[in-house]
Amino acid sequence: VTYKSIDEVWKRVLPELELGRGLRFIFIEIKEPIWAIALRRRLENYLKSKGESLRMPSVYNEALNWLDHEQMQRGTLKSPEVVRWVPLSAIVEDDPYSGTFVLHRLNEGRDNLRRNLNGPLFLVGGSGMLRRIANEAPDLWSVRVATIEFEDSEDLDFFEEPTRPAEVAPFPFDVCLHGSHDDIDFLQALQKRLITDGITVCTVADGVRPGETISNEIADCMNKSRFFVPLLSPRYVESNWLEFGFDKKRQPIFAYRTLPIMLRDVVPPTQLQHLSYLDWRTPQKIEESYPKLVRTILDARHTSPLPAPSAIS
Amino acid sequence: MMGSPKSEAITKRKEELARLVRAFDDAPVGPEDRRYYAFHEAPGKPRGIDPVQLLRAAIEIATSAGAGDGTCQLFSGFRGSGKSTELLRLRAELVADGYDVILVEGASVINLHRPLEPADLLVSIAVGVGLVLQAKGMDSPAKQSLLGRFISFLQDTDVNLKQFDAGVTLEASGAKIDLAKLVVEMTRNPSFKAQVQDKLRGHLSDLVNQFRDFMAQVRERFGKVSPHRCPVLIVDDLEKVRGTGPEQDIIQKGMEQIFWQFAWALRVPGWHVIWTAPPYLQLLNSSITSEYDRSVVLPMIRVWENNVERSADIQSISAVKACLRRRGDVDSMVFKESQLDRLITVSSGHIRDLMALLREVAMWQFMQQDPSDPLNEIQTERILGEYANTSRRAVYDEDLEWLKSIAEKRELTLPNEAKLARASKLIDTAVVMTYRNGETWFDISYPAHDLIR
Repeated sequence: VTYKSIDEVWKRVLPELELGRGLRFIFIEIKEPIWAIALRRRLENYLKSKGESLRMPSVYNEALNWLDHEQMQRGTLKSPEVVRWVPLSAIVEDDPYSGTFVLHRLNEGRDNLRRNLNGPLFLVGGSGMLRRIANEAPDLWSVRVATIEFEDSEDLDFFEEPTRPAEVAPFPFDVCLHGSHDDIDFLQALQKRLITDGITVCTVADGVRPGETISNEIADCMNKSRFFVPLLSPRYVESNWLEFGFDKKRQPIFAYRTLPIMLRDVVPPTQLQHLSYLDWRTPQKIEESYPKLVRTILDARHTSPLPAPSAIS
Repeated sequence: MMGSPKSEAITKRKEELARLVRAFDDAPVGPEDRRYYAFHEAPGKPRGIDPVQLLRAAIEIATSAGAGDGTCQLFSGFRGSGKSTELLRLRAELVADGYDVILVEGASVINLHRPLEPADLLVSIAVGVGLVLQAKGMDSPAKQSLLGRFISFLQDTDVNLKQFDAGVTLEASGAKIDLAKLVVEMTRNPSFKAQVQDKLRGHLSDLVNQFRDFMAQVRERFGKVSPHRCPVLIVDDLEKVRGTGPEQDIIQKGMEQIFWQFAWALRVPGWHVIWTAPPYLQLLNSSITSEYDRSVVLPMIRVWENNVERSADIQSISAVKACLRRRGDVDSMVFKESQLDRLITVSSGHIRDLMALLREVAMWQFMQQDPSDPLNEIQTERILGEYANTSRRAVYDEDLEWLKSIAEKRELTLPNEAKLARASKLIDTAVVMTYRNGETWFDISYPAHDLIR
């Protein structure tokens, strides 16, 4: 029995947010990290509409720190109802310093955590996560309140329903710069220049080799940025990450605008063919259109927080 | 503004369901709680002989015989089977019989996920007893003098308590102890624990004598000092001691050593001691039980008979329904009573899992457009399918032959020594479980049945 759409998952999760009491462990196994981020985004928007926020460690060490800290609260009043999200995707990669370690520590601290914390604690990971928890964290396993296995189906189309503007979380970054490893120097120089011009930038220069799938890092960077700026080159287009960044109707899966930049001669990938792009194939063209790029990005800060997918011409 | 009668009815039903969801929260309930259900008094005895009665009998026999030495017993239960609930009842019944009872929650003084040795177990229990005395308002000097000697003994064995800021200061008047700090060090500082273990390794006999001396003093101050009625010490949570990852085997072997080779160290003269232990210890090594006055494993609720068809045990299922009805109007959640029967059967009599299933039913009903509609069979089967699917995650392909053999023979046999660790894991995750009706028999959980078909 698997869940086939994020809507279905959300339907199951919602009453846990509204009805539960005490600390509730909710396990969600999702094969592709991108869907986990989409679910998290929906959760964040829901909480934001209620004036609350999601507690999530940005790195694994932070997860350990706040779990430790909260376990040490013994003898004090229970913490208020807080929704926590701990990504365990690395446990399938057997990295002892990330997901597995956090999982073991959660297992060890289960009783203390239950004594001291309130609210749902989402443990979210990729394939094999549920089996690992069952066998390696039996204390957690025995008190699970919801176990959700999500598999995306062919006709999955949950982005049909747009997120309402009121629910949209603010973007921590103006721009997510994304390029191939071959263009790392250019990417860093552009990042530096944009920052100098007052633009907040999140960059990712990996995960774009042919055959690689999208990484958590890229998805997270995209999710947090108002504009997504791919640096198009032959190597970049060979990679298959774009399959994960856009749905079957070529709509970006997050609420960003896409501003493609063509660095070298290349046929734009299908997902971007309907968009205009900035031609930066020569230094002269870069200097001509750079101010336009900056102006577009800065202007967007004052417009609707929910940008429609489009591009500048 | 008033809503329509329909919307008011929906709101009311949602409130009821919210209460039902919370009624199925996972927590042990004491015998005085209105949610408590006495399975040991139910017709057909769904768990066979009352385990609490067995433990009490050993104590009463020793008391009647006038033996002042006390007893030493083991009590095990499957995770989520209601063991802590039964221990709460045991304590209440013993207190009603006039016994002084100290219940030490092992989890508060022992790190349940690091290797445990007999020496640091005894140190932890001494500290746990100290905490109970403190909570009972026993005066501080008494506590200091009791534990002070114990701490001095540790100092003599070169356990450097000061180095670790373990809450111990040595003054001219003797050791001063901050129990809370000491507990934090013992449960959260692996280096401190390792040093205690290392330094005490060659001094176990001395340590056991010190511990016994300490407990004798506790009895003098705390107990009613009746030579024929020894006080009772119940040590809970030790069944939860287990490792994760590579330490798993080491910790399991450590537990076997404590309860097998060092059983003598767990006996405290002048006290009736009940140690909780992981169920696999008793189930996989029957000779361990000969080291104790009594060894009891709390079985699952027997929801099917021990026959080829596994026909439903009607009396037990009725008892479980009575138990569920104490939590709320469960009948309003489903169309037919047979759906409740099915939920009970698929849970395999595992109380925690059953409560989680009922919680899920209440959740699903809450999610419906009209929450007053009970769930139909298709909906409850979906919930059961999901439960079975996730429960089976604890099983690997290589377990299947062995599970098949248990399901056919209804007994636990180990094909080889290497299977021991895996067997304990499957017991630990309640894939393999025991039932009792006159005799104890083994079976595999309902979700696991599908895997071996």
